[in-house]
Amino acid sequence: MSLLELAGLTKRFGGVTAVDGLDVAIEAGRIHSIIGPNGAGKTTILNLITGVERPDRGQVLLDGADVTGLRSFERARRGVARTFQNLQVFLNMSALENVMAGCDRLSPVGLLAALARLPRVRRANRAATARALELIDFVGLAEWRDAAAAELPYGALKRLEIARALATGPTLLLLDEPAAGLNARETAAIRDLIQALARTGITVVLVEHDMRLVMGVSDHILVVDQGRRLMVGTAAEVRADPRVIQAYLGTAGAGVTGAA
Amino acid sequence: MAEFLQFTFSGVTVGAIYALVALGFAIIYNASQIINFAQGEFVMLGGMATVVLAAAGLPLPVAIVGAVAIAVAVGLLLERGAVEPARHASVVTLIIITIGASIFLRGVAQVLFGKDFHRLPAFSGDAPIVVGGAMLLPQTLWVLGVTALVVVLLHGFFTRTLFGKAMLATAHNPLAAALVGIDTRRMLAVSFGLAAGLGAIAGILIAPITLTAYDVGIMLGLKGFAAAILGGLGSFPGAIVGGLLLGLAEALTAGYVSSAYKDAIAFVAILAVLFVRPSGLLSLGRSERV
Amino acid sequence: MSLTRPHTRGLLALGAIAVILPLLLPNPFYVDVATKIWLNAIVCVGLNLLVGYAGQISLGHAGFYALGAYASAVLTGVYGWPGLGALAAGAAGVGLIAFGVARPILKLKGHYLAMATLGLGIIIAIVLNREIGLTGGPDGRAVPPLTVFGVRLVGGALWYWIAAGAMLLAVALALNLIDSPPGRALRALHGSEVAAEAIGIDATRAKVAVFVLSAVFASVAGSLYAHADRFVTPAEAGFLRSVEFVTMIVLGGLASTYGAVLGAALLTVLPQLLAGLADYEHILYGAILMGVMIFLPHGVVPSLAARWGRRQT
Repeated sequence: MSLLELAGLTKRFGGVTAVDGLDVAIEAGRIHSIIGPNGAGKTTILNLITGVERPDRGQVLLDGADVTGLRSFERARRGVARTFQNLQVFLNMSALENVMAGCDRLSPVGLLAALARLPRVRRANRAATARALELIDFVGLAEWRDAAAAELPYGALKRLEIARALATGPTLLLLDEPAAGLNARETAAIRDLIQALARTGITVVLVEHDMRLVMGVSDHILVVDQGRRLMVGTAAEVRADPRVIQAYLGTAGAGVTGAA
Repeated sequence: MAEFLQFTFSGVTVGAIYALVALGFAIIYNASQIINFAQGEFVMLGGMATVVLAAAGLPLPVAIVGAVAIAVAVGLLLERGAVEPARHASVVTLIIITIGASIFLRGVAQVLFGKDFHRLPAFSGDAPIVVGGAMLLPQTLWVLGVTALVVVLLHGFFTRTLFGKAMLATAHNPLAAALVGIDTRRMLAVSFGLAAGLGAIAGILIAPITLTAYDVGIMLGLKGFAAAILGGLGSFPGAIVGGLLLGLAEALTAGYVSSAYKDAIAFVAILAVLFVRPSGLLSLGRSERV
Repeated sequence: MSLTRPHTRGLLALGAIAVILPLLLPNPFYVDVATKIWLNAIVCVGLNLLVGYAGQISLGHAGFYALGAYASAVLTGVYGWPGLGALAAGAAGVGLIAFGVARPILKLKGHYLAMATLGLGIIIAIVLNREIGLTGGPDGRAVPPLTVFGVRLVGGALWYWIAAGAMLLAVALALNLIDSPPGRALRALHGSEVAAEAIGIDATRAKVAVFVLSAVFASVAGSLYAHADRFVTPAEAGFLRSVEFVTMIVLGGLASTYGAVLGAALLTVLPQLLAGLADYEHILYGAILMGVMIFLPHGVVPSLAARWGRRQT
């Protein structure tokens, strides 16, 4: 059984079909990438997997169970975590608190218990703090841990989102363009981070435009074009496939292939 | 049937006034994403200033023009003095600033005009016209006629003049508008002047029917806001439809159910509509990209 | 790192202020004003959880405050209920009403949410004005003294201590909540609702919970106010009263519990200072409101905190 399965997934926005009958199975314990030209529907696929958007047709199966009707937070509680292409950091909190908010899923506390500050609230706070500190170290943000999130530089915010997603204890981690806007050194560090967390057994789905990063880390690559599955294969297979080159050239135009 | 017609007349009359106030909300909102809670005070100013100027011996048309001019001046001053300096403050802060402005204007009106109700004579007498068994006041025709004229003029302003088009462009995309050289700050000032003028006209039109006082702006402002929200914030047709619907709902409730709860019905209706359509009746859905 | 100590210190400081304050007040009139400060502060501390921390505006909380006040007034005055029972029933009833409307209302955002909460408050005010048989209508109604275990609680000094105690309790509860998983969830959904859901936070449920909680805070404060003042009027439910509460927390500084208390103090005292100006009171009040918001758009506590280069509380 696949960890994640998309069956006939279709999503339309007005007259535009962003995702068109997509069938994909993603096996546990690997790094998978989704690539495709701009507007191919990559972020929409992530939004459909996480429940930010609802499909017009088709199903999302997690460990064989149909989660299509579940809301975003319910899927998160089943082990789906993500980062965002347009950063969605909690800028009204400190870096540490951002990650603690993610940790809180693991030790739920009721509102009344919180008001009364019962011993288990203190325990939950201590556990969240300890775990958040570990994760902040893991993603390399130790120097920023007490800073307000709003003061962090762009690259650090990208890592902070990864730490926050990891805090929820996911089995499936979706990364939406983690290297966008980063320089070569920062991108290399993100690559190391992705590989390190894949070694811990987390299944990674990566949406990314930086082809060196994608080709370097991915076990499987799904190529989408105009919401449809163009092919699935290893980095070598994707590179050799003329349809992929055609798709990128066809939409991006000959002059800007450097982006791919 | 005559009864229903009677309620409809009064509903449409009040509705037209709400529509004018709602248009003021929409114009300022489009220029700045600001809700101007002082909008109701322009309505009060229009009515009160006309009463005072007319009482001072000015002929009614002159008093009316003078009152609108006063309201527009106050609107421009409000924009320059209180809104422009806080242009980039949060929504809540701006709401409080405009509420502060409305308390201030109400306070000034109370000192200048006292706490009594004032009456403005109807523009063309009080002899009712009988239509289908229902009484139609000449002032109602003034309200509907002037409102229709204002709507047509506004439409022309926004679709035919360069300035109006620039205002619409600013509403759709302030950044792009600024990039093509539109002075968005000036747009904001003009929107306040325009909204103040519309409010004043509404206040002058309705004063002969409902009397006016220093504190009529609170409820009229809130109803106008409700009408703007009902139709979909920022939509001009929405503001007009919202105003008319609100006026009709009130008049029919007052007539057939209970006049004590006429004000409540407007807000119950708003809640009911928002629960079904969270962005109002005629709004364009705008979604956030993540 | 101890998470509890700063809370204890802040509470002790606030408690010390509450104890010392009456010694500095020249006469009973000022003690009554101070009582009103603490009661308003209870509403503000609760409202700040909703507006400041969870980021959901409400322009209708005076409605909940007035419902609590009238529940106490009517249940004790008309039906002869014991005072604490009426207070609890009022809080439960207001909590239920808030729970009933919270789901559809909190689906709305920004100005639409402002409109809906405003409408809710106005509807409550209109009902209190019109149901003259129970509420006494626009003239208001007298409230019997609060009786607890046969002891009649009357007198300005006594009510000062009751209000101060209730305020300290409210502040302690709010501080507890903010520094807890549900508190972090509230701030998270303020920061980004979609990201909050992505880490497993049920945003709808969290919003409903804090809306109900803030309504209950307001209701309890209203009940206490009714017995302290021994008189209630529908003006307590009015739009301007709702605006006053929101202004208090914005003035003090959103997402700062001590800021909410400070804002309540400033805006409760201001009208007393202006009362001597008679007709000019509103002009000055409006002007001060505008001026403060223009020059301190983030409120007093965060602005001062930023000036001293310290992290805000």
